[in-house]
Amino acid sequence: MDTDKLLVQGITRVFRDRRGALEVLTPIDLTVGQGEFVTIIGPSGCGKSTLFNIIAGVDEPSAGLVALDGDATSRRAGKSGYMPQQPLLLPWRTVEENVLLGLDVRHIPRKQALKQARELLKRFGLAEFAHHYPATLSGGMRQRVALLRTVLFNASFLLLDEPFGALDALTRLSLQTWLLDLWQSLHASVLFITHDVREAILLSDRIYVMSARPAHILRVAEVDLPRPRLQEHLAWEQAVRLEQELVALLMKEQRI
Amino acid sequence: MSIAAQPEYAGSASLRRIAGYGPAIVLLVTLILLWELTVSASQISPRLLPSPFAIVQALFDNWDVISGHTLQTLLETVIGLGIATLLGLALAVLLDLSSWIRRAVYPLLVISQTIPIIALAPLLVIWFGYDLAPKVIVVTLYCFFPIAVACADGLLGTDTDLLRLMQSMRASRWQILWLVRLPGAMPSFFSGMRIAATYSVTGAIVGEYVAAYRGLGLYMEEAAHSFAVVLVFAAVLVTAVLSLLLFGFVSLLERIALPWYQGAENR
Amino acid sequence: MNSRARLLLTIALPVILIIVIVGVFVLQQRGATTTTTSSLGTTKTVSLTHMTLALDWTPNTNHTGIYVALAKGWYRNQGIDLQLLPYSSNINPDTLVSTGKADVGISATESVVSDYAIGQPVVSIAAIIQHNTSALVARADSGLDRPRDLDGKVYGGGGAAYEPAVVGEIIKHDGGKGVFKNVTLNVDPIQALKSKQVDFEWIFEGWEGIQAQREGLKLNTFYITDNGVSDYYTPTIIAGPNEIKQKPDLLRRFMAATSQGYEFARAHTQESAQILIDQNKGAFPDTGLVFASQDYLSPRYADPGRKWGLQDAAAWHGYPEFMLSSNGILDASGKPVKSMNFDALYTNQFLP
Repeated sequence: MDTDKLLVQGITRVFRDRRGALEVLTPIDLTVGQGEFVTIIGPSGCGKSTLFNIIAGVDEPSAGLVALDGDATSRRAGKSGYMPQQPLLLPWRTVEENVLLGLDVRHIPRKQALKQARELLKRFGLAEFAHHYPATLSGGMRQRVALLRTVLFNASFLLLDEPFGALDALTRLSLQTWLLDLWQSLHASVLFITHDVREAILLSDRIYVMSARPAHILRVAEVDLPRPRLQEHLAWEQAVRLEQELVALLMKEQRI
Repeated sequence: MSIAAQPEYAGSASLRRIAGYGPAIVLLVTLILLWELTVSASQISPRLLPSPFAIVQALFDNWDVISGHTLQTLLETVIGLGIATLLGLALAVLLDLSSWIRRAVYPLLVISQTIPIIALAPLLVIWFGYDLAPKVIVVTLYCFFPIAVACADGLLGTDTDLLRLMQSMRASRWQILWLVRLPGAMPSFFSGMRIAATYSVTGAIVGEYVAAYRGLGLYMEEAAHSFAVVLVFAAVLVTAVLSLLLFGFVSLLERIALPWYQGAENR
Repeated sequence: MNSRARLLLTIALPVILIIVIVGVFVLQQRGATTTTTSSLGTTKTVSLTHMTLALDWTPNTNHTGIYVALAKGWYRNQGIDLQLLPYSSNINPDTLVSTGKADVGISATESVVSDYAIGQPVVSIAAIIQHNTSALVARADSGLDRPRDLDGKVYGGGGAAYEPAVVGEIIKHDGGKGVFKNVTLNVDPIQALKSKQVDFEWIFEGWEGIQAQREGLKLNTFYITDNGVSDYYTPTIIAGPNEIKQKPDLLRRFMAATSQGYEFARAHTQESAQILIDQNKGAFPDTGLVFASQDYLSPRYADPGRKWGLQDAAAWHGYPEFMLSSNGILDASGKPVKSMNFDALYTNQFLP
């Protein structure tokens, strides 16, 4: 068996300031296998984004271990495709220039980077927008561009923090399908955060449920549905049961 | 609402922009007419406040002399403004390096703006003479400050999520500055540039009061000492036009550099 | 247009603008210098000594002799390449001369005395106008018919320390108390009088006085030499003590050409006024004023039969003493100076 793409062991994170210590993450353990789609769901403010920052290498844990492809010691920054909640497209760059942002950071020559960006845009149906500016795009379009930026930087491990949270229901549905296509064709490993239980069930192989702060893992659920996933699968018995169970769990946590 | 993506509306967008100047033109013309009427109706001596038509007439009659002085003043202004821009940008980046540097340098910047020209003048003349240098220095002195302050403030306002994104891509501090923070500070930078451009011509004239063989400032003094007030006003008119042109040029640059910036559209 | 193209354009446009302006400027300069060198004709191949003269005001009829000598090449004949340093409201010729930034300059008795008091002495080497031509003036319809009427009135002055003292003495000389309100005038003195913002001023008959006549403003004129003030020289040509010590020959040659210029101006009013106008293109929008002023001044550069520029001891003792005794001259720390070696203030040794 290959090493896990991501191994998180015993991670804690305590924020200290003048007023005292804020324990955000009590020991968290999770894994993402090679090519696996894993989702974390939990109440708002429980620390999911903090965990993401640690995995992405932007923050350091107070204790514990994080290993990417079995490597726990080298710098984690630059080793994952990190996408925060907001698309954060640079308004002064065209769509294709935004997509190649990560390659600019890596000092890849422009000509080469443009070629790669354009290929990616074409492959995922956004080629006609290559020369548009983000200001002219709809919310759903921007998320797609941001996802392509993330993927062009690192196609093997994606950290997606509620990418569809701000979109309307219909756009969300079409983006979910689009993301599944993307994931399938790239064979990426994905760690995904969402509030939406149905979304989690639709997209993932496994779901981690996090408690309210200080956060720990309440439950790990396997999603027993066939691949490729379709919207209809959400109506299947095991899906409905899982959904009810997870919603109940979350409601309890939300009240606390 | 997308404007750029709809080419069939591009023409009417420019027309709209020209029409946008309408109110300003109407107001200006009204004020000028009022001025003309007041001067001719009342007994105000033309040696104190000439009529606008007399001023324009004098400008045309003396254009061959005034144009030479105008060119001199314009030269001092654009060179000074150019240096002020580079200096302002450099200082904004410097202030951004650390809060310690910011606390140390910022007060000095403020103090630099409060030195009265009468104290500075003898030093400028004795060290730099009467050529281009003292004027360029005065323009730079007055213009670098709004640029530096505006740009520094713009740098401060970078989105923390964006910073985190860049850090997750392992971007170095300088990469983040060049790729994200400086471009993000451009709207503020242009704010500062507009202010600097407006004051730049006046700065050149103040510099000419210090030391000049030529220039609109010197021309105004000569005209004043010869009691030719209408020519003083003619020079003031030229100064106003130059300031407006520079301001317009900066606005044009802003529109090129920041086409998506909604603020620019509304101007 | 992508972001790189925009960045390039945003930088390129201003750079192009600056280059265009510099280019036009340089071309215009070159055009101007070719016309002046062609009007000079053949130039001597002998190397000339560069010399600077700091002006005290924008060019006017006090400076006519200098411009005549420049136009007629008399400085070049003396081996001097004279450069006139323009007037600056923020720095006076005395400072430039005493720091060596200018070889010679134009100043006035009051300034020369002040310079000595504050420890930056200059020496007067020629009197441009032999007798004082300044006066206190008030509007003819103001009812201020004699100096003592000026008591309690508003004086529009130049902001010099000696002014209140000297003006006060003039009023007292006529039996007044010498008390008045002193404001510093930054505007056209004739407009100031007309608008009644000030009641009286100290002006030069040869310039403001002439202009007032031309505008039809009738004035009551109290010449200060008629009112208790000894005759003195203003303006004068000054040089620094170091210059005098190190370059006496240069100064002698300079004065030779300069007095040639003023002697010419004494005898040829129209032509010298025209030279003044031509040498300062655009500086005199009202050429009538220049001609009228030159008519007034030309006979007054020196009395008939006397050579131009000569300075009498009386002029350097009388008025300076008067200024000191009225506490009008302050030293570097602001205390009134009580005594001074007046003979150190002037010399005639460079006059031809």
